Amino acid sequence: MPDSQEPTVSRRGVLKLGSGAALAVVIAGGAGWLDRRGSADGQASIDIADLTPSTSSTSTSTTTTSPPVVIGEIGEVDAAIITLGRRVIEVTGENDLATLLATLPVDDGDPLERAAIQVRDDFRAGNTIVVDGWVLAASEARAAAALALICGDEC
Amino acid sequence: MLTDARSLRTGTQRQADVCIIGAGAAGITLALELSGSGLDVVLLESGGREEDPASQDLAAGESIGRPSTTLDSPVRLDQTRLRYLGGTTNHWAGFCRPLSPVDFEVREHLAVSGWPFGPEELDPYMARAAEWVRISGPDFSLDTWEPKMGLPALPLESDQIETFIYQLTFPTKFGELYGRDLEAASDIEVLLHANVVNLATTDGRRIDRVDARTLDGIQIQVMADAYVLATGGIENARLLLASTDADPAGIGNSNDLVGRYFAEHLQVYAGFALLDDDPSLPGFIGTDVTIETGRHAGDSHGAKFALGLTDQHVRDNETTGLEIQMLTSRFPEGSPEHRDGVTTSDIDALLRHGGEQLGATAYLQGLAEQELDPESRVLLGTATDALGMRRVQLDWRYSQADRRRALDGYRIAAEAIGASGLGRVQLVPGGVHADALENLVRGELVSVYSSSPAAIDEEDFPIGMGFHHMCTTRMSAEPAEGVVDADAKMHELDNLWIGGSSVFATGGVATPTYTLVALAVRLADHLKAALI
Repeated sequence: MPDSQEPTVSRRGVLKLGSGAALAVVIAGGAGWLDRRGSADGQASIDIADLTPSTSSTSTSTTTTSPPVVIGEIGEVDAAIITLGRRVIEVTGENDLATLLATLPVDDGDPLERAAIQVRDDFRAGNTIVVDGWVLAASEARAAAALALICGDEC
Repeated sequence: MLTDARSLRTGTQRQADVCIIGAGAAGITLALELSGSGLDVVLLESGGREEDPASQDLAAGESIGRPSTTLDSPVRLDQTRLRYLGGTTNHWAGFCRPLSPVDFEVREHLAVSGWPFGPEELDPYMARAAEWVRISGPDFSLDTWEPKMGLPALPLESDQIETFIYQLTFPTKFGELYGRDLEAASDIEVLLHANVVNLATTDGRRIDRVDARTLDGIQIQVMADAYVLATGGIENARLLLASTDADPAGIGNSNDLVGRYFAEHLQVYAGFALLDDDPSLPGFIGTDVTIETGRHAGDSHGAKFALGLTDQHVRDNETTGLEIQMLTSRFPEGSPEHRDGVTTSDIDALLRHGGEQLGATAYLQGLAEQELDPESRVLLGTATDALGMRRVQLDWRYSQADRRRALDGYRIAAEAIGASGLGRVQLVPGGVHADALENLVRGELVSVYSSSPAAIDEEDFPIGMGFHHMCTTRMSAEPAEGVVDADAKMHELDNLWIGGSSVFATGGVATPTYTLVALAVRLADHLKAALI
């Protein structure tokens, strides 16, 4: 078995994580979102403070210091992932965007590769969240939840 | 030579060097291994050459313990074993794998564990056992089997889960395969339709004779220097308990251990996996391979992969064994019927994004080891059969801890699959419909759940019986811990040995037939040394 600290993930593994940029960017970008300042030119943005909860059981962070999240940086988000994210929120009760993002790692490289490593390490460490029986890496489940909160009714 | 005992006169006596009771996998192997050694053998079989309802009814009994299936059906004791030539091999699925080294070890975290010897003691007999069960040989290593199967093992990046190899031999009905050999052997007489009703003893130390009867009332006696009881994990205990000439508690039962520690493989349908279309997956269905050496060279048999907890994981985590069959298939319309909660489509999006086709899917069907429990046992009921023998009561028990360990094992497998980038697993313990199993035969996954996954009670999910009856005359170094010694001779008797999985000291998770045949080969060598 490879050393758990080894930072390499095969291309095959990356492809299989493969949820386009969206999930990976959130997983790998995680805490990095909180440190961003402003949005890129020409890209749509949503201020976290303005987000509308997507389900009655959820609420979002109203931290005034939170930066805007740029949908364009996330990329296209599959509706199924939003569905999954909402269910994660229902099951875990983790509905604070800033807290969710803070549990995710700071972006320090290629998002796909970083996300794959994080998912792998979560599984290896037994750091999982079970939703409707699905055994998910905590990072991917929380990233889906974060996406659901970020997108609200917009995605 | 095969003799129909119904053609004999009542009061017929037979004399032999060795009297074997039960012509199943253990009894037939033992008899044929002894053939040519100079020892005369009488082999007593309850049934004939074909299944017969009247003989089969003798196996009926009462289940007073756990149900046997996910449908909460009681154990049907007349269906879990067969009483005719070849015994229960007549419905054997043919899965062969040896026990794991950890199965032989004393595990302090379990109340009862450990064999009186290690796996190396059985190694010299596994090649001959492989011949009897008609598989390629005793090598079950991945290095050997990946090229032989022409398929790679699942690329698991885990030290907790590994790929097991099963060799499959089906159908391998010992009565059909070896009936001619038995018939031709001049030093073996098989008495068909001869039901043993008593092991006669005057002092409880030696068996004096065996009393047998046909269903039409003919009485037969067999006298021998050595007796071997090989009637299966339930019937071995029944005959010992029912033979009360010297002690109302039965034969060799001073420590009240005969029939106790009844163990099964816990069959757990725990959900399914959504997987990448990996080239390894066909290996979980199985493939044909050619036998290269031995007397069956040129024949083909099957082989397949399974997943299992590594021995190291079992030791380090103070748990019990688990193996998982991945029954790969496809959903006919791309998704399972249940629509509640997170669906396979959602997970597919998580893994692939963009609505590509679903990958491969697989039921997860596991066999889990149960901890030995003295209260899980074979008893004699008050009802009697057509021969006047008390019928069996089976009080099969397993614990919440057994359930928890099985589910923990599944979770470890789910994490290993995720960590290896192979897919995701949904645990729905006990949630598989009976219909799903029927559909599985057609290669379709439908009606997967008996209810929504969220409604499944993980603390009380149903567990099925693997129909591997074990440990009721378990092997032990000391009489206080078991019924037979390391040679499978009863601790308390001088001339009675036991064959079959009832002597297993622990059950492990490997299917038992290959090991019990190896034990029969070993017993044959032991008897030759003792009697010649």
